[in-house]
Amino acid sequence: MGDPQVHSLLKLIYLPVWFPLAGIIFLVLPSSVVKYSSLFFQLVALIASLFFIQLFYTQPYFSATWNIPWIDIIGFKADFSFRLDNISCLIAFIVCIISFLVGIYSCSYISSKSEQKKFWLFLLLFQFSMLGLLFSNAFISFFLFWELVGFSSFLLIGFYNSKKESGSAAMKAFIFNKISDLFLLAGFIFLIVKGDINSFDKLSTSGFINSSELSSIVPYLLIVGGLAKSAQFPLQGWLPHAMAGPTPASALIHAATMVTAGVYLQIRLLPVYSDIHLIILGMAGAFSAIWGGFCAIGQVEIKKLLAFSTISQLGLMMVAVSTSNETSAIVHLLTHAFFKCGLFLTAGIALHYFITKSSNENEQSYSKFVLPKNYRTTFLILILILLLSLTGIPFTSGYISKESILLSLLEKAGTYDSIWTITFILTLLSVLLTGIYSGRFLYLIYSNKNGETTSNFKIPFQLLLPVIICSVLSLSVFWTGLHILGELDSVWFISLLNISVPSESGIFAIILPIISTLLAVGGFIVGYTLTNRPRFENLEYLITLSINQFYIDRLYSGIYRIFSKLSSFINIQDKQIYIGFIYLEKIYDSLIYKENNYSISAIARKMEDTAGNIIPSFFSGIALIGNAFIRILQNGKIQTYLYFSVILFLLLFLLINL
Amino acid sequence: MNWTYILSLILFSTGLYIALSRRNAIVVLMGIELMFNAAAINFLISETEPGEGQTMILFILGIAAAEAATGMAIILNLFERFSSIDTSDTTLLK
Repeated sequence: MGDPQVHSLLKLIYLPVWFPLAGIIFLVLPSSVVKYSSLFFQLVALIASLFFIQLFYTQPYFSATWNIPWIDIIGFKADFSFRLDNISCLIAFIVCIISFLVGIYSCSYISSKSEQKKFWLFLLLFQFSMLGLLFSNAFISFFLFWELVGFSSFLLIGFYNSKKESGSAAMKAFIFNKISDLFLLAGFIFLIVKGDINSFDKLSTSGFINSSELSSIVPYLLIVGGLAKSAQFPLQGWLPHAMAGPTPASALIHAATMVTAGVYLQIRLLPVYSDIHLIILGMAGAFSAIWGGFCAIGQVEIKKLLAFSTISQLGLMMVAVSTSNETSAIVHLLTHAFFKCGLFLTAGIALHYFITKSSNENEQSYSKFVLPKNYRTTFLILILILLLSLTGIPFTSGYISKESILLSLLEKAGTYDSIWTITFILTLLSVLLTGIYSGRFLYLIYSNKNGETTSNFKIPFQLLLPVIICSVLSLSVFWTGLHILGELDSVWFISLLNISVPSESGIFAIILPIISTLLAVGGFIVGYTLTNRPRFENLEYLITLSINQFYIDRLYSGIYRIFSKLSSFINIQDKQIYIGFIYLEKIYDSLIYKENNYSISAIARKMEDTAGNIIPSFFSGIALIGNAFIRILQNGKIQTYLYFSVILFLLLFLLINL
Repeated sequence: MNWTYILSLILFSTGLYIALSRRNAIVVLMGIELMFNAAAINFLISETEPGEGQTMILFILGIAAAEAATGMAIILNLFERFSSIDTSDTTLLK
């Protein structure tokens, strides 16, 4: 079809990245039109991403890279390099569809006109940078978009900028991400400078693992670099606080898309890692899964509960990556995006409409939600679909992904280290915990039957539609391929991904789904029934531990406090001792003269006095005359001094050149 | 004679004039930024090897960013102390 270069450039224009950017430009329109124009561009981006998915159906192993030259200095070359392959296109599709749904939702959620424009700006900026991140091939441009994503998440967390807690939450997220980003940047720089690898596609072809110099440090840097963005242990503390932002933003960024960027990074970097690194990654993931699940149980705020659940699910994805079976990670990423987004949007509706009048608006706590009678059934069905997907019960989408993660882990556990067995057991435990907190979520929203119901109000259709679509999507993923136990190939997006699926044969392949389903269902029932029962009070200390998140935040602030104490201590010592040395002579004097008051300031004052007496009157006379002259020049304005120095410099310049 | 030198000359003198004559501290800062850019252009057009000037520009950009941050911090402190950012008010340096 003509010149290939022209052809590829044509495709580059269709890349969904550009449409949110165009949407940002169209924000100059009057605010009544803005939401339609932004939604239009999001829709176009969605259609473009569908176009690319269709492309991969016709050409399964298609992948393309386009370089746009950017920096070209001797020895250093950084391009804006885009790469299309099936993984990036699939995740771009997820980003586009979730962004579009959230866009519809926020049309009615962000009601105030003045906030609307700001929100759209941040949202479109986020979508642009996230899509850019997905399609980036070169490390430098990837890092650029990575930072942009972090920045737009910072903006959205601090969206309600008049509230103090949202500001500090935004700062917390930013700082946690920065720590991690430094590691990532260091890793990239090592790869570029030492390994002469500057893009992801070169990573897979070059024999990286052979060079021992790099493999001793770079993989660790890169592992830590991906941790904070995906809120993995030990850099997970920012995510629960990030819920201070508006709910649609939380649904989009801190549940469905941005936090999966870390997982995406690790998938891309898989060629770098050898077994030991994968074990570390897997342990971090499994530990986060357990930690998140456990902390979610104690929460009373439903958004925080969902945040911890996100940490837990991201941990599962990391585990899936660590088994070097990226298919199950991506599948879980996809299914998780749908059901978690749906749950968040439901939580947003609940916090808006279902809170009983007596309760405090700011406090999103315990059984204060009352479902209105006319929506009770609808919401029960929607929430149940989403929650069962989250727990991974058969015939929902979560089942596929969870099962494939567990199966690939089992395969690892059978063949390699005993550490894999520990990871496997931890992951199985996190399945149980997922069941428990899902049950609790249902209890928190649904259980309160008596309470004043504001009868017969209407929830706007724009709020309801995205939730319905999310739940339909989380169901349909299972049914599209007519999924049969253990055979994943037939599901549409898995056939798209073209990667082999673990085909564990033997007795475990049949027993494992049964065990995990039993665990999940049992957990769900336990979570629903045992919440708020007196029998639960025996485990009060566990709940406290869970609410306080294992005191990890306390630990961090304790470390901070130790350091700040230390630095203030050093500061005082510095002042006393260092200044003491300067005035050593005077201190000695004052000791001799047995003066009681030899504080530093007194000594300094005394020095000035003696200096005044020492200067003879002759010199002071000259000084007085000079003073009158200098007074004119020295008028205290810095600009005058600068002016004179410029004139002096010019004179010197003339003098030299004469 | 490279005509781009004229551009950098104009930029530099404009920046210098702004920095010396304006009373608003922020505008003074902007003048200093202009001078930075003039220096950067000079580096770019007087490079001896391809890429040399670009490298220097990267450094200058970094320094300019740091300078802007420091400058803004100074202006903030100025405002806290004098409750104005007019440079003719700050005559303590006599």
